[in-house]
Formats: sequence, C-alpha cells, structure tokens
Amino acid sequence: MEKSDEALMLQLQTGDLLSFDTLVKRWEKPLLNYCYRMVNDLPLAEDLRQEVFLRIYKSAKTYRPTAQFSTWMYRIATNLCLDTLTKQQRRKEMPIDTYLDSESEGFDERLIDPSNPPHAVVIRKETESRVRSALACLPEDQRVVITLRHYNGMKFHEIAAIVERPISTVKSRMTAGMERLSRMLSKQE
Amino acid sequence: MDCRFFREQIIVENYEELEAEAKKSLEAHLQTCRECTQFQVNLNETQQTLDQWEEVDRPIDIEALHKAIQPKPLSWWARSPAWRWLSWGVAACLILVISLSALAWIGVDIKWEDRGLTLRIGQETVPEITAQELVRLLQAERHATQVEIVKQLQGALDEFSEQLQVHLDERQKQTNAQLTLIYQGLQSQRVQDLELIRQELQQLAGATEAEFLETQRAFEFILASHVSEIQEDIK
Ligand SMILES: [Zn+2]
Repeated sequence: MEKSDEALMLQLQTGDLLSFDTLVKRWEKPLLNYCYRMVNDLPLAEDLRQEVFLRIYKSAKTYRPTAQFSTWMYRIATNLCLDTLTKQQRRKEMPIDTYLDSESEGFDERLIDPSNPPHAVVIRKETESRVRSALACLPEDQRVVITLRHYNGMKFHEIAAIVERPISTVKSRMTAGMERLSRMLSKQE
Repeated sequence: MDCRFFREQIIVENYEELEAEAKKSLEAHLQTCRECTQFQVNLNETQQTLDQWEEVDRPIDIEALHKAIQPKPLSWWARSPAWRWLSWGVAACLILVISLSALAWIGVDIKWEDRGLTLRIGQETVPEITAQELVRLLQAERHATQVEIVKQLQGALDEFSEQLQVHLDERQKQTNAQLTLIYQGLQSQRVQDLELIRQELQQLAGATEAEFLETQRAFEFILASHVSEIQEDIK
C-alpha cells in the first residue's frame, strides 16, 4: 500500500531521504504546472518548483501532520509565486497584447503528427495562448483560486486552508475570476 | 435569493462540490432564470477553453535537488572575507575622509605632498599617511608572507587610529565641546570598524592564496580610490 504524504513527511523528519524522493516524484508534475500557471513562464516555474521542494526539505521539521501535506506544499508554492510576481510586476506593466507577443512560443514540432493535422494543432496552440494571457491578466488572488481548483483539483475548503481565508472568500474570488475569464475568452473569439 | 448567490452555486456545482440540498434549490432557480442558465452555459465553455492549456511534464533534476539539499561546504563568499572587506573598507575609508575633514575643520593643517599626506599642527609635523601607507604595504610587500602582511596591516590600522586620537587630544583644549563630541562619535565607530577588520585579518591569515589575493586586490582598490578622493578633497 502506498504511504500517505503525511507518513512520508514524518519519515523525512527522521532523516529518511528516500521518503523525500517519493514525495518529489509524487508531486513534481502538479507542482510544476501550478507554478507554470501562476507565473506563465516555464523555465521560471521549474526554478520555483525546485525552490519549493528545497523549502519543504528545509522546513520538514516544522511540519505537523495535523495539516494536509498538499495544503502545506501549495501554501509554500503560492507564497513563493506571489513573491516572485510582486518582484516582476509583470501583470500590471504589460497589457494583454504585449503579453501575447512576448509569451507566445513557436509551435512544438512534436505535436505535429499525421493523425493530428497541423491546422488543429495551430488552433489548439492559439487557444492555449489566449488562455495563458487571460489567466495572466487576472488579479493574483483570483488566479491562485482558479488554478488550484480548475487545474490542480483542490477542493474549495482545501484552497481556503492554503490561502488562509474563509471558504466564502475563496468562492467569491472564484466567481469573480471565472466571470472575468468568460468575458476575456469570449471577447477574443 | 438573488442571482449573485446562485452564480456562486453554479460554479460550485460545476466543480461537483455542491451538496444535494443546495443542488435542488439551484435547479429550481435555473428553471425560472434565463440569465443564470446562460451563465452556466458560458461557464461550461470557459471551463472547456481553460482545459486547452494542457499540462506540461518536465521531470525534476533530482540530482541537482539532492545537491542543493546537502549541507554545503562553505561557499567562497562565506569563507572569504572579501565582500565584508568591501563594505568595511568603504566604511573605514569614509570615516578616514570624514575624520580628515574634521581635523581640517578643527584647525589641523593637512597637505598632500610627495611623500603622502602630511598633518601639521603649528610647527609640529606628523609625516604619516595611513591609507597611503597601507597601499604601499600591500603593493611592496608581496613577497612577505600573508601573516606578515596581516600583521603590518593591523599595525598600520592601529597607528592610524592612535594618530587621530593624538590629534584629538592635542586640539581638544582649543576646540569647542561640540566638535569633540562629533569626533568622539566618529572615533567610536572607527574603533568598532577596526575591530571587525581585525577579526577578518585573523581569518585572512588562514585563507588560501587565491582568496588572499582576491581580498588584497579588493582592499587595494578601495584604498587607492579613497586615497585619490582624499587627495581631491584636500586640494
Ligand atoms: Zn438567476
């Protein structure tokens, strides 16, 4: 049977590095995608992921099993991403068009295969680009909630614990953010 | 209940977290409210559009992570006092400049001559320039061992400190109490700085040659630039 994250953390507290590796393997992908969606920059997201795991390792001793590991981990990641964004001040200084220009990347050659005709790939990449820009334009507190709920599958009460706000606040941020996204994403169509 | 409330409920429902009771009342509202029904349609579309940003998968460099969590041997910065020298050097030189200005202000005649800086009080001349001397020591004594250079530097620093104290004592009777206070403030700051530098010097004696040269270069550079600044000031 698979060990729970919390059990692995307790083992890590006794100096068991293997349990740390297991946690890393288990969470590396969700954590990378969370950071990526928060900062909209993949290499930066990789650095942030590395830093989150470092912080988890360093502060393992302060972890208490009363807190769900994922909540604790996402809280560390959220704070780190928000700090990074504050430093960059990108969202406020860059209008959406600039964002699109600077952030849209070339198409990934690997995505083009016979069963997936090029025009479909192009459309999908365009949509992805619009989504990225729209999310980047959201206020950060809304982006946190939407990313955690929509992409990382965290429940509203878990998000409330991550951002340390009442669940009602989380839901109203989610509503405001989704309404905003709907407007942005439909306007561009 | 207003539509605002139900919009929130629709979102909760779309993420499958709405409880049975609430679900019933939401369904009842949707039967009667076209705006909220449209909101739900739009929301479904938005959720589908969001899904177009697919997940990425880049495995973490686990070896780099392991390296990062290992207790590190002290980095160059931690071992070498060069960076602290830089800040303390600047602080010390700043105090040197201020002290010399203070001396000039309280009536000590300061001149830049061929041999270096000369302090003159009436007929008495003190032909010593500490900063110049330090640079000279650092440049000329390259063959001396590190420990010797360190000792000489310590000596030079002590001497400089003493000189300023001597001048203070000499002039104390003739200057007003306020100036004395200012000077004493400078002096106590300087004593602290000297103590820090002295501690660094101790460590420097045990540094590797590369670290020593690095620090020496940094210190030489600071002193040289400040000596030339003092020179400018005095002109
Ligand atoms: Zn309604």
